[in-house]
Amino acid sequence: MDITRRQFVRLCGGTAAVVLPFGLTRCAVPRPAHELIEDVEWKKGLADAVLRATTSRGATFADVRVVRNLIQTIAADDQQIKGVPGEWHYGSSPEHVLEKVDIGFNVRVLKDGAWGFAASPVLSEDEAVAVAGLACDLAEKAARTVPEPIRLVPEPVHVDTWVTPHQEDPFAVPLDEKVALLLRINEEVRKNPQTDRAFSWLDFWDENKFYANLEGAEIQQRLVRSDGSFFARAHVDGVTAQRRFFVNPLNIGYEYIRGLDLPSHAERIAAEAVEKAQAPMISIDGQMDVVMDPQNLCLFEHETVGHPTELNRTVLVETNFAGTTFLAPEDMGSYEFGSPVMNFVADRSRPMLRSTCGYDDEGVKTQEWDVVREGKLVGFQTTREFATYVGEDQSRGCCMTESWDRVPQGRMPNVSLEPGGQDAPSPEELIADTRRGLLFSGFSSRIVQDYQRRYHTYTANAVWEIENGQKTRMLRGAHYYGQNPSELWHRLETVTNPASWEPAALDSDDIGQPTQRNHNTHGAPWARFRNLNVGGPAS
Amino acid sequence: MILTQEEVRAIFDTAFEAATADEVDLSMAWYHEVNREVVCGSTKVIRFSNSYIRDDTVVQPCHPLQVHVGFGNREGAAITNQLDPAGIRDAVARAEAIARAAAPNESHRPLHGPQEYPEIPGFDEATAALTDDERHEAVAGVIERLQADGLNGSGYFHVDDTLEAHANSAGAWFYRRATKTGYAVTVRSDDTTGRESSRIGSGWAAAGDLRRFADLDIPGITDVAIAKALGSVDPQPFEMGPHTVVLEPNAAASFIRLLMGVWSGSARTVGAWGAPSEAGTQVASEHLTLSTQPGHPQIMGSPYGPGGMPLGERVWVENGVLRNLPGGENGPAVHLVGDGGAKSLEDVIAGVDRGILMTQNWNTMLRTIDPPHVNGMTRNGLFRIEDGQLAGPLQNAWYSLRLDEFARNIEDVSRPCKTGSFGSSGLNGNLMPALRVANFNFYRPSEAV
Repeated sequence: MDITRRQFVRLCGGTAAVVLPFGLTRCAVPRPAHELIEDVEWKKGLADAVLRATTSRGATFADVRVVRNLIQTIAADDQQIKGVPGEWHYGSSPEHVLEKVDIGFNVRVLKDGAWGFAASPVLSEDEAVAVAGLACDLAEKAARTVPEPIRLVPEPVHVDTWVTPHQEDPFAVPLDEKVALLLRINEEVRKNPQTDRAFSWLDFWDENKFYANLEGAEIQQRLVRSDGSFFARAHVDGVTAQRRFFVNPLNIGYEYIRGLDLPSHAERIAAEAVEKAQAPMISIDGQMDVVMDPQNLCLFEHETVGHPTELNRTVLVETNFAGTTFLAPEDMGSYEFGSPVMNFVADRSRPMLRSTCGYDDEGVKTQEWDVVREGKLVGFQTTREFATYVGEDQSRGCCMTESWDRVPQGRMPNVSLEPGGQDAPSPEELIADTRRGLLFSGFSSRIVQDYQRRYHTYTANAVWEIENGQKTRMLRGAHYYGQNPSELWHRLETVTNPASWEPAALDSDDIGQPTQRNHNTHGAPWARFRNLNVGGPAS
Repeated sequence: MILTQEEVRAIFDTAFEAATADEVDLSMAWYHEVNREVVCGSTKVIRFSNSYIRDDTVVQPCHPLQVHVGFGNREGAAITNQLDPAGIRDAVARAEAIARAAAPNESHRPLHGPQEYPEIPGFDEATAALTDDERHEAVAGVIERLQADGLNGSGYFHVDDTLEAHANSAGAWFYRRATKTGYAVTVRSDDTTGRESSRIGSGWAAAGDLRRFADLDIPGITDVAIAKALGSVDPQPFEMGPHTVVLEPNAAASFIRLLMGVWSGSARTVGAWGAPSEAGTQVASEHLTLSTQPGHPQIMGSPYGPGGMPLGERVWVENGVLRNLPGGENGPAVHLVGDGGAKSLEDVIAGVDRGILMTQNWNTMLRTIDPPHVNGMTRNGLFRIEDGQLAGPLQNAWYSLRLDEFARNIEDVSRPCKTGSFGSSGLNGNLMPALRVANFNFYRPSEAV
């Protein structure tokens, strides 16, 4: 196979080359991967080689991703930099302060109507061509089981570069400074003598993704993520309680962390942890008005609207592990999901949100679309493979892969509850307008839900009573629950104004076999639900 | 190719030479980060759904290097999968930079020197050499059957060829190859989806963390899932409240995992940690005996324990009495074997006059530590037992109970079977018995399937 001079230069990254026996041409000195990953021309050359190889095998579609994930996690447990306990990352956690570099590429092909996928951490043309051939082999075998050929909806060809807008590279900020920040937060928390533990963390991601496909797309992206927060734990009269300061994780640079002034919130959070430990257990078991803040709503949104509207769940792709959904494709346009003030937008294009990028992991330009409009289900999360299941001729751009060694799959984008109009109340006005109710603040992962996302029980990081328009005392153990999401969302009565909308987000979202992490925002205003079922510890 | 001992030594030597820290601890091994498993080696996965293969993936060998360093008791860590000299040196430098910036770790423990590890073979040449054609053949028959019978099947079949290597600046060295395979399948009686699916049948079966592909009975596991799917069509409501329940080994494993955490004091809920139980205490009925056995022929697990200490056999619970607490010098409660005697699952069921058989469960979580209270729900097959026989499908249901009472209410056990969980709350690849438990409390029916 002939290669052009331009391709040759790309492959060699401009280094000297030698002519080897049998007419093969190779670079004299292999360049390290951390250099190659920054060389877009080299990556284009690699993609050319891969795509030629798949074309020669008869693939009808093929794409290649060259990925570097750089992750830095720093956590401080009181004055020690060490393990990460409890409710962090919505799951388990690394045991040490960590920096991780992960580099590799993958090739996905559609051949004979079936997918094949192969990946490697070795960045070289020879490896890339071999991996492309392997992906074709796998697709040919899978095709023997596919009843109908997989087809993709069309997408315009994009050649572009996209970078998360940011001012200060989080990885360029000295470690000393980050460690000092965490230790200072914890010191401030522990000034409250009734606290017995402070825990703080910072988490940064830098994803370098190059994507190309057989249709001609060539997309270089860099996603920068910054997150960090802390919690205070109090132990009073034998009761332990934890209160978290909720930061909305964003795609942004370190300037975000600087602007948060985290230590300035430590005194309040410590006091609230003590208040929580001293709070009485809820004695109510019945119906009550509930006000939720954006950070409490975000998990509720994630589980009751986000996962159920993943189209691949509705068509039983995730049955073996993550589960299914109470929705079916034919519900689009007819299912009454909630009250008329329930409006949900999905997007991957709103600035700074966690799922926001220029293009998804199969080259689809990111966008924004309605999922629920005035209480009615009007949209699903789709990929180029699944869009036709709901009669759409273009993907919504929800194909994602966490890293080079994970197969692309449909994943949840940002899915957010819209605020009311400019005349809608502020959060303060909403509370003032609530005669008797409960305020749920911040999410807690101690939820109860089934694998079809029907029954739900939620709690919060902190719950206050509202009496005659005033936030009064904290309560412990309060939950709200419903037989299905629709029952809960039909009780949504008021959402606050646009100024109160916040880009709340979970720390991560993990599904798949093998599991893949995902990042998404569930923005929300404050909201009041009428007559929700509330009660004591989860049931 | 998976790295040889010599190649690993060369990589480790490069790291040691680059390091300036007082202590250096290097690993290439499977690890777990934020709900994500990272394989050190190659992994091949076939994932099927709607009874056809939708993902066949091969990830070529990757050997992430984990570098842990210490300057005194200041520690840092970095991971890289780039094993050229520049990549290795970069990882060492990043780990050292973190260590220099870190506050002292007051619970820092010095590295252990060379240790003698038991020889536990875990590598099966035939499994490592399994071709892609052979992998496909392994599931093709299953898929043909599902399609022919109009069943909706979703499955996950993986074959890993892995490496585990460790070395530290105190002279420790460990290298071990292991193969790992497993299979899980969910079968639904038809492809109804959404809210209309609550009357269909669904069955699940799995086996995980086997060393030899020859031991993985994919057709047999699928038969079990199909039988449960067909047998659970049109599930019926049942009376909420306490019942005698037989938990199949995979369902039992979720509770055993939580119990081990409660007994060791490592269990936690939000903001709360439990206190460990005292050794010598009767913590369960006399039917329960649990031990760690890395060398068990159906386990063949790694003998490398935390901190580089050899991981040997250890009894945790003997006839219901807590003999040792997991953690610290005793090592972790891994490679678990439940000593269940000679009864089969059918024998255990035969001993129940009136009760319920639970196949799998979901969302089983510790809600409070003191008392240790759990709830969760059943999944993929719940059946009534009458006069020692299965007597029809039941609707899924939520349960709520105290773990300590659960352990004391164990009335019978079966011989142990290899479990599979693949991300759910069970124990993947351990040997667990089925348990017969009295007064198992159900409190809410569920239409979820």
